[in-house]
Amino acid sequence: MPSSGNPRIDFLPGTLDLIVLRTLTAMGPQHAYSIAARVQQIAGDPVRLNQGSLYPALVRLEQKGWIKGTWRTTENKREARYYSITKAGSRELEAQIDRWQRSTGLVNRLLAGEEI
Amino acid sequence: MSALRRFVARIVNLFLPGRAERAVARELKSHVAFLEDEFRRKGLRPEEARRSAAHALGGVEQTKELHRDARSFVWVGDVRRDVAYALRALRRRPLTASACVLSLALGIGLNAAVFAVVDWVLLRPLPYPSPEQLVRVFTAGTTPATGPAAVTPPEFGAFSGVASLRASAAFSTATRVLAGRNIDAVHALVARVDGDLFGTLGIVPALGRSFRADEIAAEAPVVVLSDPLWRRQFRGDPAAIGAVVTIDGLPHTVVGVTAPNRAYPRDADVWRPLTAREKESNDRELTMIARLREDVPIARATAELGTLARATSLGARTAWADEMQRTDVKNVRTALNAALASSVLVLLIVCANVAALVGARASDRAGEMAVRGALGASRRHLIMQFTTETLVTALIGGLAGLFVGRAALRLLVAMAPIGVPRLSEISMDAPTLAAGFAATVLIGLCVGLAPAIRLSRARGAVALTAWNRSTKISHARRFLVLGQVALAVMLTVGAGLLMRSLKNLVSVDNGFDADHIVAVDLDLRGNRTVDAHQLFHEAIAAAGTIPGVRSAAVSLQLPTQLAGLRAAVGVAGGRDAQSPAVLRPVTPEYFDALGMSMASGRAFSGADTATAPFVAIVNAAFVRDVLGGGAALGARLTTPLVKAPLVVVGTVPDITPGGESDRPALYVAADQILIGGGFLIVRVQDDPRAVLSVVASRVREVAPQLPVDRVRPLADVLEPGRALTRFNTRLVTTFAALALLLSAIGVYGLTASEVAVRWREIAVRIALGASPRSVLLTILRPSAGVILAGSAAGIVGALAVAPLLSSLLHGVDPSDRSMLAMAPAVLMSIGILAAVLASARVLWVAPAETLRTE
Repeated sequence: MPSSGNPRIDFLPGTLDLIVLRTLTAMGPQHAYSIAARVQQIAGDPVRLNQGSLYPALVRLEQKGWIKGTWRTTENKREARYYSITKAGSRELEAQIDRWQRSTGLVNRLLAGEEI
Repeated sequence: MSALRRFVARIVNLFLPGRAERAVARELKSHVAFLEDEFRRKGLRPEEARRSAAHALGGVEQTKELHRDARSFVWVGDVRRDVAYALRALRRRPLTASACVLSLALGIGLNAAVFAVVDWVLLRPLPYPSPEQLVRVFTAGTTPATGPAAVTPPEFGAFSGVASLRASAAFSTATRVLAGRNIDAVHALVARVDGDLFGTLGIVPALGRSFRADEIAAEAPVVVLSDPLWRRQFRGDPAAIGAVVTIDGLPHTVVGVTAPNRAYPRDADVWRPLTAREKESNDRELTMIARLREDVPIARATAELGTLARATSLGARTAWADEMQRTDVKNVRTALNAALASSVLVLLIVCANVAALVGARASDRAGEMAVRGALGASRRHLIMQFTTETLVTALIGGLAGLFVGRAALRLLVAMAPIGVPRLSEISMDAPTLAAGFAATVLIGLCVGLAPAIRLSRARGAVALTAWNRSTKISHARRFLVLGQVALAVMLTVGAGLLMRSLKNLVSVDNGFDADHIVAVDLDLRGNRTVDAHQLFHEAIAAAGTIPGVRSAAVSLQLPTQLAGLRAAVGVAGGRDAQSPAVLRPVTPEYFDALGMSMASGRAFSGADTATAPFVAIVNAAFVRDVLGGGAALGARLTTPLVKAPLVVVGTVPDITPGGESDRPALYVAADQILIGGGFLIVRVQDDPRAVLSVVASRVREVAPQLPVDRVRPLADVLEPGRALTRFNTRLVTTFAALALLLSAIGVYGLTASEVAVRWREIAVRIALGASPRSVLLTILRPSAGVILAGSAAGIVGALAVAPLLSSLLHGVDPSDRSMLAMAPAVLMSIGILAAVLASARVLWVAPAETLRTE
């Protein structure tokens, strides 16, 4: 049973895609390890995250054509699969950021007790 | 857009899992390497670094699993796993699995074959454009009421003008001799056509053209050949168009060749326009077909035809239209439906057996399922997994059934009576396969779902301990066997009725010995130069020299046909009125060749020549009806067909081919009357089939110009009348035997598991002093109850269904009770046998031992 007993990432659903796309935009092409390191850095809690749980998001994004993976060699002569964001991915990121900001704005206003 | 892209990618990964799998392994290896670097930098030893790296990733295999789920479809993966598991499970129980697969293959295969025949013959529309518009037109007398009959040429002329008919045609068929340059003379069935037959059907010849309207009107000597005849006689040569063939010696030009399997009537070899003389004959022998105008219901055509027929016949006759397809299959519909029903019953019995096997296996595996449930498998998944197993079994069975079905279909088509429409086209094609597949899936689900649901309920510790100890056979299992017994009883009763009616048909007294006779058509049509009498004598002499031949004779007609030359016969010194009788010209050894003995007087001899006094031999019906039962020998008869009066020199018994009663007939010496053809009748010592080719070659030697293509055992001529019954009887008897066998297996299984389940209880009984007899009864009682109840249900069912068979029965009462006890007796014996074997087994093992192992 794939769902039972697997560790979960403590992110809001859907935010992982946003984080990956954003990381790739900000830092350029990255391999899975460095993306995971970056996510861990942001999350600030190194114990919580199984780095492997990043892969379903990577697969999903790549299959949707938003990121693209290519094999390259690192400075340390190690081979790694580098993911870079595609044009479609950039458009998707903008759309997601826009959506995210609108919904967080709504929640923020709600929490602040403003009239909608 | 991106969603579609992802869907495609997942599909690709579903079917090509290998590439992605390798890529993931490589990527994860690199990922772990980075993590190891990190941990080593933090000062861990290589060993610890590797472990920590794997931990930080969350496990390599687990990650791969996550990757798989994301890149493809989880449920498909699940199904694949379930199927793989099912295959493993089947391999672990090869006996059960092969029993299930084999019986399913048999059941599904037989059904597919029978269904293919039913589908092609009864269900598919005729292979013509808008087949629902095609109708047959019948007439019948109103006072007195007579059965459906053909139409006469004038009737056809009148009926074809009816407003609701867009087009119509009529034809009659007759056997003629077809010959030509470079073509062997053969007998061919000629359809003589009036009206636009091909246009009415909406077909065009595959080669050449059909008749033009002016050719039909002018009775032009043109013919269209059937595809088989064209292939046989012209070796499929397109140059046949324009060739000249003779029909009974008259030249005709070939203008077309029909498309295969589309011609009508289906058995015709040649079509030609009806001639004016044939039209004048005014015989009621035209088969009329017509095409209704668009959207005109048959009822309207019937109303118009009826009105017209009554008006033109002054109320003596009526007419109506009926669906052409329904008319075509009228004779075989009941037979085929009965065959389909029996094969479905067999399939049901197969299903019951498989269900019992699966159910028994389910009980065995209750423990396993309970463990899986306890370990967290969801109920849905347990059901899915178990059902997958039965589905896989059913599908393997269905696949094997495909081969069984193909073989069975070949056999069925070969066995089927000639009159079944579209026989040559029947094949297992997409619709049949789809139906077979649907049936297979349905069976898999039905058989698997019930035990699966029952099993999945068994959860937790209770199930773990209690399931293996169930002391009762489930009611469902008993009910299955009860149903089997009932179905088997119904089938055997039906098969018994059919067998008896076939026996009635075959053992019917023909009045002559049909089993040792070879008949050869000596057709002189179109051979006006041949002296018939000379030829007859030569043929008889040639046949007489063949070893094993007892006698040979020639007669104008085969004894299988009662009608013949009609003659009005007057009796000198008797009543003034002339009586109708059939004139049967025969050569001297005729009665001897047929194995008939004279009732009185003498047979014809070589002395009864054209110059000798004219003599006659009369049959019993003649003595009774024409001579009023008076003295026959010496009576003087007159008939317009013979110049001088005939003296009766002998009497013979009636002939009754196929049980039909003979009509008054007088046999005359062939030499004393002019005849233009006949049949050589050769009586042989042993099997007539053994001498067919010798007889044919001898006749060819004396008559090289004749078509000697019809040389056959006389029994074959009688066969068409009983072919349908024979076909049905064979089929249903086979099915009944299968049903009986399968139910016997079911009964045996039930009794055996009765013992398996109650082994402990019985051991206790024995320990307490129960006698072997009482042990036997303990074991037998439940099964016997099931068999008796099943038999009762089956008998009730059989009596209810039997009247439906009545149109297939000959000389048997549908409520005939002689077969009712057969199946129950067999099944009860099997039950008793199983019980005896099982109780012997229980008694053999010392009760103390049994109880100790428990």
